[in-house]
Amino acid sequence: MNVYIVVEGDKTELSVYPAWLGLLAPQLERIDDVWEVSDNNYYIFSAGGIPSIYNHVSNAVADINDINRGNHKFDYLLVCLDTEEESRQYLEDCINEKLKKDNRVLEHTKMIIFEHKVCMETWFLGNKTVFKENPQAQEYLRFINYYNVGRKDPEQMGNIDSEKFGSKAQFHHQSTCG
Amino acid sequence: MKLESLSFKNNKTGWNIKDINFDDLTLLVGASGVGKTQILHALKKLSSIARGRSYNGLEWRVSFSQDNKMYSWKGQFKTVQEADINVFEINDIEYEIINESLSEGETNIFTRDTSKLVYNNKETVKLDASKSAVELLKEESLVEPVYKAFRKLYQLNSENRGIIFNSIIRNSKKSTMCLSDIKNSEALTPILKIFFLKKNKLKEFEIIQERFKEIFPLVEKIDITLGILFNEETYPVLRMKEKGVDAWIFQNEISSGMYRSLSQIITLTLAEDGDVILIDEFENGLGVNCIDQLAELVTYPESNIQVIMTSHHPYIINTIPYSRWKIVTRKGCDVDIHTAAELNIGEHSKHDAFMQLIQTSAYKTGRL
Repeated sequence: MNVYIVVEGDKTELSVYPAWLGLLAPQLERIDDVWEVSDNNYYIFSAGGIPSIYNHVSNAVADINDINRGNHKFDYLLVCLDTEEESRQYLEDCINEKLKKDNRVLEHTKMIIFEHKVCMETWFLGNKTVFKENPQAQEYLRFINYYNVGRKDPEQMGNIDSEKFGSKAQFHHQSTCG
Repeated sequence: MKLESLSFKNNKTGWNIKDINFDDLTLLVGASGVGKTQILHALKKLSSIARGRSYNGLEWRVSFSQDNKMYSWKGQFKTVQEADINVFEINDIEYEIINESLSEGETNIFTRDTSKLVYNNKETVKLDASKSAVELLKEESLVEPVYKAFRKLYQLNSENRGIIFNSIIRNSKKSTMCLSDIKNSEALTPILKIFFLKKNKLKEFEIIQERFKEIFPLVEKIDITLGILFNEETYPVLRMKEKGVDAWIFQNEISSGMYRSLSQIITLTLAEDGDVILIDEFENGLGVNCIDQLAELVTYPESNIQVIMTSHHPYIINTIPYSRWKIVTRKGCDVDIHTAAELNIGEHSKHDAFMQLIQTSAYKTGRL
């Protein structure tokens, strides 16, 4: 099995996904050059944020089709991105619209959209070793009073201060720093 | 001169720049700390060696062309361990050259070791062992082009904003300087060069001013005025006038981006065929309003010059064709250079070349 992974960011995802894959699919070996894919490999492409990720997913589809031509290699294209304020359906529509506009269809490979709702850091807030029930800093006490992710679903948390934190995702990211 | 390739090793520190090939435009890219700037420093040191300077433990091999002839120059200084050097005399120490040779094509011009120097198949009299034979024999017809070639290598100097006052300025203020005097004076910063262009009523002053105004349309005029020191001596000061602003903006108030842009325009406008210009961190201080036009000046220069520069800026890297990139990596003291093709970056992928580059561990981590 070979997997082509497109991630939105260039830091968190590039640390977390390889670590996860090391546990979940230890047989997969990361490759630095996608054109050297053989068996049981995965390749991670960092797309530098939204909306550029849609262009890069489209280009990845073209590359996968080229690599697969004559010698099927990639089984999955995994697209990992933050939903932020949007729905999963919206992300799917954006990807499909871009592929349609570029006249590209992913052949013989399954695309899986792996959404981080709201962002990857939101998931970390659900991890008891990341979230501290008794932070010392006043700011984080204020965050807990606003929404206690220790007891409630982090994915449902809003934004405490939309002027200070430009988006829900920024607030979720900041909340992990406590 | 056009540099073709370089290997450069410091046997004292172990730093070793392995075979790098140069194009008319070479863009050195890579993670911070991999040795991009060291490559520029190595080239400047070669230029100093050709003028007689000695360096502890340096070893080099460089190929270049000059006047349609291909040259190969290599050599090595003796390595002296730090413990053996008296720190109070460190500036006075000269290091012996233990071997050196220069050839043009297949023809040997000179060869030396610690016992003798042979020029054009004849042994010379004893000469200074710490100075390159390029300096020692610079009056000889076979060596003169090489000496001159390395004088055409220089680094863009845009950092010095202080008042500069030296004998060249003092003497030049009284006499007339022609364009080549100004171009070739190594003691002059770019800003002092436009002072003398204006003073000598040379048309290049207007060309530079127009180019600058194209990038900064709010600027109406560039001028050089004179400041007065306590002893009543005068020194040149750059100033600019902006549209709709009555007061002049003086040298110490000009933004760093404008200052650097002007320095780059001056350097590139005055560059002559055969010049080799080194630019470290091309984008430093440059905003989005000027970076593209300045990048165009180095990508498509008017003269037949060679530019070797470093950059981390996506726009610069994207603008310069990937065939001109040299991706620098380092393992310990060994600095390695890779072409985009070696990292399998190219048009076989639908991703932009820059996006392909930033996925590579060579670029991200500086290691391969």
